[in-house]
Amino acid sequence: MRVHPSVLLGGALLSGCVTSLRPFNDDFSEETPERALSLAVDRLSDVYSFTAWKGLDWPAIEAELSEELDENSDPDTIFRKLAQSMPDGHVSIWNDDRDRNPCPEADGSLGFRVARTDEDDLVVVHVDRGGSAAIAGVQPGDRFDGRAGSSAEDALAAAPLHCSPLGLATVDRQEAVAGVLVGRGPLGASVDVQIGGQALVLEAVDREGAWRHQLGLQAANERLSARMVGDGIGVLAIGWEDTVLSEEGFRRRLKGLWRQGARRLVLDLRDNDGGTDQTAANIVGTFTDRSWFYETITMYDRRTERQAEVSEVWVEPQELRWDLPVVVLVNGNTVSSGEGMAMMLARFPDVEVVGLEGTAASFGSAGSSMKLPGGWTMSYPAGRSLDRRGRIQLDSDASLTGGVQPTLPVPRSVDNLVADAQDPDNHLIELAIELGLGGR
Amino acid sequence: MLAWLLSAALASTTWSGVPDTAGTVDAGEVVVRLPYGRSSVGLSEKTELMVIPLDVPLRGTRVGVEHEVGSTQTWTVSVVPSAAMKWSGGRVSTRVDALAARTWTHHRAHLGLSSDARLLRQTTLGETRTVAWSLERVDVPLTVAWDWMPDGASGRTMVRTKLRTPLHDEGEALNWLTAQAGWLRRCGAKQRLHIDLGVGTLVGQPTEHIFLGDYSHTLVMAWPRVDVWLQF
Repeated sequence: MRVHPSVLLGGALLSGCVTSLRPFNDDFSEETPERALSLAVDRLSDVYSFTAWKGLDWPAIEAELSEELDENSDPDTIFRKLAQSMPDGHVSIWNDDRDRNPCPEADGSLGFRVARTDEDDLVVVHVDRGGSAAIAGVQPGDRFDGRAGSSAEDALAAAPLHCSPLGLATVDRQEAVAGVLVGRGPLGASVDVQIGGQALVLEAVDREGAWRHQLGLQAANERLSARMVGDGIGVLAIGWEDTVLSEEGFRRRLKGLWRQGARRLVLDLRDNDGGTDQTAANIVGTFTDRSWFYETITMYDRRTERQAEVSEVWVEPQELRWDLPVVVLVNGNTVSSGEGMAMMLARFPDVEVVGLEGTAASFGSAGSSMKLPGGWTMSYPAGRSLDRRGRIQLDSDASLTGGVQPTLPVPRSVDNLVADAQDPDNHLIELAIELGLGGR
Repeated sequence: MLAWLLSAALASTTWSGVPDTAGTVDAGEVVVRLPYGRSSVGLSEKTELMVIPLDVPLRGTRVGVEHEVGSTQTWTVSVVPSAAMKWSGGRVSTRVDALAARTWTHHRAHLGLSSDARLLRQTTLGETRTVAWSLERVDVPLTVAWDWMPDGASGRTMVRTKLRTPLHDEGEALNWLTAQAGWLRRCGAKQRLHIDLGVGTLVGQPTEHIFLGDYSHTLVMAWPRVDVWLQF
């Protein structure tokens, strides 16, 4: 077959410079669990974007999980623990079998959730209506004293975090999920708990709801929503930002709020599930009149076996500009480009970020995955986000700190935590208006 | 990474009228290429009026004129002033392309220099609503293309390799280029179906801010296009 030199030139440019920059999609599902674990750890130790940044010791992780696998031969737990060994909100693990019990250790609900206050107290912030705790008389605001003979702190520390299908990148995120898990147990089991100075025996019962939702790992239900909440105040919530549809929809709703009289804006990024970087940058560009550097995206280069810079993203002024007061609302489920938007907006003059907690600290580039035995699939980041100096931005480091912290943190008082648990749609919005827009 | 849309427009049997290629359609000749291509009407032997209904990077429509300023048996030089407006009305692009082409029996080389100034129409929502225009970006790209025509200049098949790099782009230049390889074929004589299969990518440090999708899916973008070409 004849191939003309012009074809060879184009092909060489394309294959040599581009095809080495691809996410990994491995299939270890036909291997034995032991072999699959070894192959998975090999791959992750080679290509996971944050091994050094997060101080991960892959040989130690493999040794620990292998030993555990030899002892109890439960590959499901081992693969979930492998995922949880990466404190990263872009790591997730799921099973193809929807009927499979995602986590037998915590598939029953005791009917309460715990959180930590600014005073370092662990309190019950939510009680399920009609649940075991409610029947036993537990009230929101009661002090959590312990469980199964352990102190409250030890019970939290012993919570099976590997039940989370998402990586938990910060201490705050891990503690938030632990606060849910101490209120759960094996379905049908009776669990001793100490709450409000009382010793109670609560039965773990079946409660409906998606597993992710039960663990407080909500994702938004709607891409965009807008509403007026008071005199001249509009709330615009962004659930995810993936395409030009998000940009156009965002502008349309923003203009709609302005026409309805909104002159102050609450930009609600709670539970924002991320999306496309350029779309996020363009949404942020609605709030500025000049260019801002947003990030350099990197990806693992198979040819050099190192992270390679793929592209830069800038925030540019957009066709529509909002030149009125803005307050941004975040929570621990604000992840990826949702965090990126909060990061940039916090740098703008006159923009405040309000929340009970920081964001998910997971700004890497999603894309790689591996199939594991038993129907498990684990996804993990293929690249990083760097600031202008080339440093990793937002992703948590070895100390499990990172993300966007509120510039105006909402006090974690018992009243605020309980009110937020009872009325998540409105309580923080009211506080955001009071803290971030009061007097403006 | 960014993949550029391959230009699909093929004009007369001499292949004139292709973007980044010097040459015009004959006087009185009308060529309609949809949905992406460049439609033209020959105003004179040296001038054509052209319309690109969908200018993808701008998300608008482009209108312009190509005028041959000089031509011989083997050389053609032309200039193409054009303007485009985003359908939302928020952006306008004014561009001038200077193009030269040298043709051999089975090959053709192209050199193009363009200047594209993009204007932003910004609506500001403050206590009142105001509108202002500003210069958003100036891009001066250099394009080099090489066509291989195995059946000669009047044949049905052309393989094009094109490289494009900015000489000036927001203070940064020559640190990236786009590479394209395309295969174009036409069928029939008057009513023709043009099939353009290609792949494009961006090599180097991009300063281009327009993404055609998620970066994880645009590292290499194959871009098959079909343009219906009607000649009257």
